[in-house]
Amino acid sequence: MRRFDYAAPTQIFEACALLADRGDDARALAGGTDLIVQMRERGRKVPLIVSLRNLEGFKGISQNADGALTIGAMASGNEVHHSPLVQKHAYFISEGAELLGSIQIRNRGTLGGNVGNAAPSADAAPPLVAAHATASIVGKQGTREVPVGDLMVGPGQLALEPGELIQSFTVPAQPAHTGTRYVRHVPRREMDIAVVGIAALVSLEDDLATIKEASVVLSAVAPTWPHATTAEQTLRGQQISEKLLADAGEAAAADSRPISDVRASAEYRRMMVDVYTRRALATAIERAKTAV
Amino acid sequence: MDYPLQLTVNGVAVKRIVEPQIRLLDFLREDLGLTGSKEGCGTGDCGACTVLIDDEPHHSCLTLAVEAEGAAVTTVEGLVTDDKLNEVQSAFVSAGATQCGICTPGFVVMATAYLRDNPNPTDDELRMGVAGNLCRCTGYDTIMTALHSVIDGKVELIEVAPEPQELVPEPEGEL
Repeated sequence: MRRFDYAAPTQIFEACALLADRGDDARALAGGTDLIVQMRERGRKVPLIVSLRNLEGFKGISQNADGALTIGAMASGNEVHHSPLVQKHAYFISEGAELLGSIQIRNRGTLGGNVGNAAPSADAAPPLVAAHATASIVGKQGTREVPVGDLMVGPGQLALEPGELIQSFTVPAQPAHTGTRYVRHVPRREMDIAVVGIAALVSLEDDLATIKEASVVLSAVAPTWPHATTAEQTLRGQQISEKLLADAGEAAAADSRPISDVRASAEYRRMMVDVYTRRALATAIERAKTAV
Repeated sequence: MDYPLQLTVNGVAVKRIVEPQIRLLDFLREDLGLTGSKEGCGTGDCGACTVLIDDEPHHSCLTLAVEAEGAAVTTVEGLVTDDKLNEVQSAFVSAGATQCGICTPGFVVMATAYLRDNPNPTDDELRMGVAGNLCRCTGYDTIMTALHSVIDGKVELIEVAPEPQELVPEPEGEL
């Protein structure tokens, strides 16, 4: 690996200032499961690495007084996956985190890194978008809240200024009778990258037969992690039926904008969006019926 | 600029000056002489470099040495206590669960941590647990045999000749 300078500040303002001052010459290091590989294998030049490992405010998972959940950007994949708070609050965030590589990768890789890396095929980010989570962005100018769904502007690109960092994610409290599911299609079960990923969140009316609110977010079938808005409109206020889920699956397929690449053709991906949207919704609805 | 690094490796306190681009894997192998941990892919896919950092399995090829500041690192060498191999190590020997041997230290470290946290996994869970470790010789059957013998409590610990695990000494006047 090329020689670089390294800093591991303990103060957030110090980390932001270092990154802002050095601009494109500096990168923040979270788990390093992508960055280190890029620097070694692809010769990516990074003159200054700013490690986030000593920033206490970026760590931990906690529930707030208003019932919302805050997950530090430096929470590891395994921390998020195993967290009882995350599992109770929004199970599909735990499900998405479980799919990040192997156990070894999940011990290093972080939730902030999965979002910050801005890969269209990310597994842990789409559930955050579907749950209407916001990201706390810190920078030299202070803190701002940005919906996670607005953070990614394209593959590898975030709507952040130089020196801005994702400190944490806040997942709002969900209404009663809410169920969630993240499911992906991969040719092999483990250590693979999503061909299609679907994050579904469904809130039911008290009758447990009518959909009050639905959120469907797509992975690996668009340049970002978009809501399948037509599918969501199809579901809202409707009685649950096989036909409704089939209609939603078709609508989600039409909402997707997949490309053809080494993993799958666009046509195949679109068909899988249909299938996996139906499956994700069916599980989310089952979970909503038994949720308190 | 070089960085002072303090950590514990296999129970021994270590102080060194390191360059920031040195990976923990290189630091263990080259600076300390602990060559048990292997480099397979160098990209976090094969798991041959797996070590425990504060008791949890990590890829030492994706970890900068400076990022292990203050940590307790355990390598495959550190799993031997009182001149006895641990259960997983002993099971690998008894089952002959090794061919070329490059993947063995990573498998042993990963399986030791996995079975500590999940002492009674199903075969399917066990396979997912070590999914991040690849055997290029495809010798998975004997590896699974070895791990199942640990789960079934059928492993006799194997004694090894006392081997001084001395680290390469600290260069004079570094710190």
